Amino acid sequence: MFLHTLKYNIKTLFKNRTLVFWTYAFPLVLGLLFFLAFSNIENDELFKVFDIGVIKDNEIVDNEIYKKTLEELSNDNNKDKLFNIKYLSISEADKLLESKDIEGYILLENNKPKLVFKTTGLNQTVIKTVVDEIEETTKVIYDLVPIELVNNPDQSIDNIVNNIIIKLNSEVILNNKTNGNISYMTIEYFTLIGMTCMYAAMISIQAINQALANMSSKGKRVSIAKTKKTTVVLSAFLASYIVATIGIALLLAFILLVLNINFGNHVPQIILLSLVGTLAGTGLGLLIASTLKVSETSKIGITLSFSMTMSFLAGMMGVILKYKVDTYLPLLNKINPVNMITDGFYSLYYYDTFERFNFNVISLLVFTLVCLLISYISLRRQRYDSI
Amino acid sequence: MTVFKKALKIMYKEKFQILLYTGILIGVCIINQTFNTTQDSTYYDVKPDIMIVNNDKESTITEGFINYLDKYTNIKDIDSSKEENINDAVFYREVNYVIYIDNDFSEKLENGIIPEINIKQTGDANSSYTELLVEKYIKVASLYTKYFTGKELNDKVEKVLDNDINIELKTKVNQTTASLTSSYFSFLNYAFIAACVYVICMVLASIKENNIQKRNNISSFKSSNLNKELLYANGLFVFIMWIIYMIIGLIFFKDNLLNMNGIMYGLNSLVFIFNCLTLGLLIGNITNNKNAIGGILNVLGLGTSFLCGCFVPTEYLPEMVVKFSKILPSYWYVNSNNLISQTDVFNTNFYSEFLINIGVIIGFSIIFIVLTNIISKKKLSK
Repeated sequence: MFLHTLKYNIKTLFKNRTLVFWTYAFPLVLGLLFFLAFSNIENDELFKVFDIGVIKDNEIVDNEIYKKTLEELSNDNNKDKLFNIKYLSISEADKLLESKDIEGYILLENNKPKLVFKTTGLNQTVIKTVVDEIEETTKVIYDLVPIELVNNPDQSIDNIVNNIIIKLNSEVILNNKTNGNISYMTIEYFTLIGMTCMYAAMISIQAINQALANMSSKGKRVSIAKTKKTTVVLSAFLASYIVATIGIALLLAFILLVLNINFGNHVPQIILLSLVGTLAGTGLGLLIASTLKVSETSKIGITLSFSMTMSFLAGMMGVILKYKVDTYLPLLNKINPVNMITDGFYSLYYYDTFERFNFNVISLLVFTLVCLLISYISLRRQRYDSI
Repeated sequence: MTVFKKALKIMYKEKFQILLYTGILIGVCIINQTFNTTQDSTYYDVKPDIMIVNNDKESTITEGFINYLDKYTNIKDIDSSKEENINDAVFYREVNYVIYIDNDFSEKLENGIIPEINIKQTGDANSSYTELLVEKYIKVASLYTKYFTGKELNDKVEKVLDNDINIELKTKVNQTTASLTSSYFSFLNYAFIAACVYVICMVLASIKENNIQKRNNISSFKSSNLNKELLYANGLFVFIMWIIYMIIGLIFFKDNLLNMNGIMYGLNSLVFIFNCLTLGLLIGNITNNKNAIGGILNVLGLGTSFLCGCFVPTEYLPEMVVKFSKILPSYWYVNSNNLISQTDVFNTNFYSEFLINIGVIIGFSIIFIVLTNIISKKKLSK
C-alpha cells in the first residue's frame, strides 16, 4: 500500500508541471544570474586607467622626482600604467573635476603636495598612494644619500639613488596562510542551495494538502479511505523528498559541472549536506501544511516569506549580514535551517576538521525530527463532525 | 467603481498574508540597514582591524614596526594560543589581517635582508591597505638599518612614512551616509518588486477566476476599464507601501533626507513603484498559477537586484552584464539613486540625467500597461 501511494504521489507531483518547473528552473536561473553578476568581481583587471590633472604653472613641473615618476606611471609603454596626465591651469582643472573628466589634480604648495578631489573613491586612493610613495622616496633619498656619500665618497649620486629605488621597489614576500579564501561568489551559491532546499517545502505542502480533508474534496476522500494516516503522510513526505532531491541534484550538477564553481574537495560531504538539507525543507513543508489551518495560498505565502527571511539571514543578500547575525544574534542563526546548510558548506570549504560540519548536519536532522514530531501530533486524531 | 471596491475587499480578506509578506520585507529592509556596513572603496580614511602574533618580542625594531601599525590600524587583542581562534577571527571579519612575526624578523632586518612573513587576510580592501602598510615599513626599515639602530632607527623610519598630504575635497557630501542612503533605496528594488508582484497577483488570481472571468467577458464592461480600476485599487495599496518605506527611510536617515536629495529619492522611488505596479499587473494577467508566483517574483526580484547593482555595486559587475541590465527598469532606478547620492548641487547636469532616467522608467510602465491590455484582450478572445 505504501509503495502504491508513493508511486501515485510522485506521479501527481510531476503532473503539476508549473510547480515542478519553478522549483527546478528557478534555482538554475538564479545560479546563472549569480554567475553572470559575479564573474567579474574576482577580476584583477577591475582597475581601469583614469585621467588626472597636474597644474602646469606650479612648482610641481620643476620637481624632478614628481616629473619622472608621474611620466613613468602615465607612459603608454608601461604595463603598470595607472593614469593619463593632463597639464592644466587651476581653473581648467576645477572645471574638468566638476564634470568628472579628471579624477583629481595634483600641485605643490611650498614643496608640500596638495591633492584636490571631488569625492573619495578607489581612483582617488590610488592617486594618494602614488603621491605618498613619491614623498617617502624623496625623504629616504634626502636622508640616506648624504650619509652614504660620507661613507663612500667615490660612489656617484645616481648610483646611490638607483640602489635605494631598487630596494624600495623590491618585493616583500608575504605568505598567505589563510584557510581557503572564500570568494564572494561561492558564498552566494551556498545560500542558493540552502534556499532551494527550503523550496522542497513548497513541494511537500502540495503533496500533503492532497491528503488533508479541509483542503479539497480529494483530501476528504483520502481521509475517509481505509489507509492508515501514517502511510498516507509518510508516502506523501517521501514522494516530495524524492522530487525535491532531483531538483537539488540538478542544481548541484549545474553549479559544479556547468558553471565550474569550486566547492572544495569533499564531494561526499557536499552531497550528504544537500540531502539532509532537502530533508529539512520537506519537513518544514509538512509542518506548515499540517499545523496551519489556512488556505493553500496562505500556506504558500507563509513558506515563501519564511524561506526568504531565512535565506536573507543566512547571507543571500550580502554575506556581511550572516557574520553580524552570527555575532549578535547567534541563537537565531542556530535555528535557521538555511543557515545550517550555508554554514555547513562554509565549514567544508574553510576548516580542516569536520567538527562544525557534523554539528550542522546533526542540527538539520534535529530540525527535521522536530518538524515531523509536531506534524505527527497535530495530524493524529484529526476528527471531523459527521455532518 | 465596483471592481475597485472588490479588489480592496479581496486585499482586506487576505490581509493576514499581505501583512505577513510585506511585514517581512520591511523587517528585512530594516535589518539590512541596521547591519549594513558601507562597501566604500576609500580605505585611506578607514582603520583596518588587525592582529599580530609576535614571536620576536625582545627587539626594538619589532617594537617600532608594531607602533607604526598601531598608528594606522586597530590592533586587536585576540587569544592566539589556538590557531582556531585566529581562523575564526578572520572568518568572522573581526580582523582583516593577521601578521605572524617570526623570531628572526629583527635579525634579518638588521642585516638589510627583507624577511618573509606569514599572514592571513580577508582579501578585501582593508586587508590590501594593511598589506601596503606592512610592505612599506619593511622596505624602508631594511634600507635604514644600514645606518641606524634602535630607537633612532624607529624614529627615522616613522618620520619617512608619516605623510601629511593636504587633501581638499570639493564635495560636501558625506560619502558614508550617502552610500548607505543610496543602498537603502536600491535595496527597495527587491522589496517593491516582490511585494507588488505578490499582492497584485493574489488579487488578480481571485478576480480572474474562471467563472468570474467568463461573466466579465460577456458583459459590456470593457476589459481596459477593468484593468484601469484594478490599477487604481492596487495603486492605492502600493502608494501606502511607498509611504511606509519613506517613513522608515526618514527614521534611518533623518538628516540626509530632509533636503533636496530626499525629495529626489522620494520622486525616484515613487516613479519606480508605479513601474512595479504595472509590472505586477502584467504578470498577474499572464499567469494565474499560485505556485508559479513564488518562482516568478523571486526571479524578477532577485534577478533584477543582482543584475542591476542592488546587492553588488555596479562597479563590480562585468561590462556585458551592465549593458544587458539596461533593458531592465531597475537599472535606471539604481542609476538615479547613485546619481542622487553623489549630488550636492542640483543643476542642469543633474536634471538632464535624472529626467532621462525617470523618463525611461515611465516608458517601461507604459509598455507594461499596453502589454497588459493586449494580453487580457487576447485571453478574452480565446
